[in-house]
Amino acid sequence: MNVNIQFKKGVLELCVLVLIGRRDRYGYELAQAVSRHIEVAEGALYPLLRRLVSEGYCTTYLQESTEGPPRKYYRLTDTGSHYTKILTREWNDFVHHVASLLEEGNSDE
Amino acid sequence: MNRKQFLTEVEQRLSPLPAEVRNELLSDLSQHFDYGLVNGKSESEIANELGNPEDIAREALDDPNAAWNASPPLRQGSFARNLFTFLGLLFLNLLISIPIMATLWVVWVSLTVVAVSFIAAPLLAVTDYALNSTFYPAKFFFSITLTGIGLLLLPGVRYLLLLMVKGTVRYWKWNQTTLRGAY
Repeated sequence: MNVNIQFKKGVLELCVLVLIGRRDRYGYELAQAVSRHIEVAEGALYPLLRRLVSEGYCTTYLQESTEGPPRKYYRLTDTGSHYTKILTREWNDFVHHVASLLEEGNSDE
Repeated sequence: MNRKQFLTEVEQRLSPLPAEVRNELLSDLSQHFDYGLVNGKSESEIANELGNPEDIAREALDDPNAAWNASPPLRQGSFARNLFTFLGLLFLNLLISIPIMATLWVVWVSLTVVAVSFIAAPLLAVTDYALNSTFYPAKFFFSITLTGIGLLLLPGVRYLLLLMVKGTVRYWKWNQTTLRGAY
């Protein structure tokens, strides 16, 4: 269970970066989009977003909305999009290696 | 847990953070409640989806570098520490390691030269015979003995070479990791 949480936390960053990369989004929207795919405590999103901003991968801007207060939108920076590419490649490599390891174990026995 | 309880609990645990950062996170979470309510969820539902306030606070308090990165960043030390490491290595290398290594390598080279010339001894004896046209059997047999000794030396020389290459490479790597600060 605990291990699973660690997995999800690691993946959350990549998911959020990819989602913001497709179009600018605000926090609640991101939470909805993420939890549609992975079951995660949505609260973890906000500290993560703050870190992404402080590390220069995202910027924020406010935009009026028809319902409720102005929304804080997150936009990917150039650094952020470069970082997303690297992270995506690393993720794919990682998944590939783990998958082939598991496969190997099956054929041995 | 309702909105107020949730936010209060996060706020209490965030006291070590600067007010600006703390307020930003709290307003983010508060807005999350706003949007959730607009979308027809109850406060306790939203709080449930957000997860444990304690976990959120812990995430926010974590060192930005240490929190999620799998491998520690290199060069963690201060500039001064790195500088002293560099100077220390420089003196160690210039005064002790490089002279010792050089000596060891020179010894190895001379051993190799000895082995090779021992092996080549009969050739020299033949050359000697060709030049002076006097044949001394003793000289010839002695040169053959030398060849034997040279051949015996050869594996030793080879073993020493492997040992020294390994040692040199390992020492070089140690230098690099020490400089980078990843012990």
